[in-house]
Amino acid sequence: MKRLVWYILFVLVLLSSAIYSFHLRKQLSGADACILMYDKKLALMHNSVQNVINCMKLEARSEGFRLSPDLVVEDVSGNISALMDVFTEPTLVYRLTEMHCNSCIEHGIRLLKEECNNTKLPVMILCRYESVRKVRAICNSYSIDFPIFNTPERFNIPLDDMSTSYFFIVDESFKCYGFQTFIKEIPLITENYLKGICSSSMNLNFIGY
Amino acid sequence: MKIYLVFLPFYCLMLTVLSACNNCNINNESIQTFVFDASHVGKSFDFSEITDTNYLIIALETSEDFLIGEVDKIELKNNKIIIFDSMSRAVYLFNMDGTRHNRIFNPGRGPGEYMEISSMGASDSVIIIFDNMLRKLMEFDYNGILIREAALSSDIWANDIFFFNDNLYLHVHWGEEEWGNSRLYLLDDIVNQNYRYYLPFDKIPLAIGNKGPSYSVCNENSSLIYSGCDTVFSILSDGNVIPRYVFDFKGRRAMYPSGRIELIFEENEDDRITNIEWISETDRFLFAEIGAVRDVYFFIYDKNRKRGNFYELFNNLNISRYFPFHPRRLSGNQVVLTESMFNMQHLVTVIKDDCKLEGFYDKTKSIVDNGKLEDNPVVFIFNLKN
Repeated sequence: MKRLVWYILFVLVLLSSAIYSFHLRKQLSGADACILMYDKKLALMHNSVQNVINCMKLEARSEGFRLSPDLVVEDVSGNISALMDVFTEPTLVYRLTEMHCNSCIEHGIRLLKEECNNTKLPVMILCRYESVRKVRAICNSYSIDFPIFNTPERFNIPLDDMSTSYFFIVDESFKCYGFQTFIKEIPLITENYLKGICSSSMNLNFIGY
Repeated sequence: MKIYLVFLPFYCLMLTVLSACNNCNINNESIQTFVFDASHVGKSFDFSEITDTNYLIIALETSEDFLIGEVDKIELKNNKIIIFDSMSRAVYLFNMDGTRHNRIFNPGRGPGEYMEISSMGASDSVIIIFDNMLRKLMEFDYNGILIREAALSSDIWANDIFFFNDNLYLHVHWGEEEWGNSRLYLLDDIVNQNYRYYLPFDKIPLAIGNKGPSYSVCNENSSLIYSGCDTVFSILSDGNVIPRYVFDFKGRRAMYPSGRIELIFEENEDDRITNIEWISETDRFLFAEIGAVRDVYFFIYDKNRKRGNFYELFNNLNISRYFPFHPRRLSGNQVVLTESMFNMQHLVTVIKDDCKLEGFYDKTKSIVDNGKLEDNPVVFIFNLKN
């Protein structure tokens, strides 16, 4: 009888240690997955910030970026005009293309509406889509009230080749500065950028330009 | 003897645990192998050989709230044309004559709303959408009315969803996420979310494809491919998932010596195969597009004749050799193609002299003449011969 009790105890200990090790393994794999997820997030944030840094470096080394005043833009009705006809004063531009993810566009436009709706600084969206129908479709989808123009050509700005939408300011001489990519992982950065620009209401000296 | 009896429950428990871990549902029936030989690739396959002369050309109605950005998925169900468009975050339902029926459009972050439509599946009675951002499934009827919604369980994921035999499947491609590699979930209900999962292969794929998973549904089975895997899996009507076909590229598969997928074109010769881009299947035919570093190959396999071949091009010489005829989207025994109005303008100029299909040119021309460049795409439906 005593022997039987020992055997039962032995099985119970074995069983509980097996269950415990299973739980431990599950927790460890969960922790590994979390670390991997954070690593990926960090890499994405680093990439986004690095894109802005690279853009600034190139901007500093060159004479700055400038858009061509003759650049062709098309409004949602399909009317074609030159860029110089639509820019008359310093304007905050949000650049998005067909390559950008829907959630980035949604988030970017929401921030733009929240932060820049009551500012005196004009806001404009310059997008690059295959057709005006697509531009109208995204206008409907995201309820865009800002002036929006389609530019079939890419800009001569390094950020235009990146996978994230971005903001910048264009002045009367079509010089572009104050670049900021939309960082989905840390929207606070974009939010603060827009807050800073819009609260200054056209006094753009605060960003040192 | 008593001693063995004491250990018996322990052994039973171990056996139960072991069998529960093996949740795969694989039958290794006969697998058909398609050997790819670049020197035997045909010039083009003429679809007029396997399509009959009946066709439908449907100009979809355009209005300010019915503007299609991109056709991500098109299904013909319940006498409706269902178009899922992630760009405009809507599902559009058209009648078979192209007039608008209804749309599912409810973007937002609250109950009954979605941030994005990541994928859509339609059965004969309901349309289900999956929002990747809010991680929820929403069920609508054909009038665009929300029936119910539910957050997706944390241990399931979906890149695409589809219905087969009235069952909802969630298709997940290769990834390093905690959810694991290429999987297929069969969900009993969007609210209860009791699921069976299939992990049809246990090897890490050879290489990562760029199109993610792809599926095709026909009457008898549903076929699946996963990024970087050269096997076509089938869901049979009894629910089993089996490897059905294998593409053998004879060692010409592109590799990733640096481990960086973006360098695939730099690190491989032009003739290397990158992935199976898509598959589509009817009860008689299997179609596929094979991506290579430089070229693209098309594949057709006739199940009745047990013959298949690779081609450089798919076309339909009854229309024109310039008319792109890619049977990626099938509905039963029909090939469904969409063309933008921009392409239609070009099409009418090139098919004018070649077109042998009765009334096809006139119908196309009339759509172009009466439409605008920025109108919604045009849908073409061709019947495959039995």
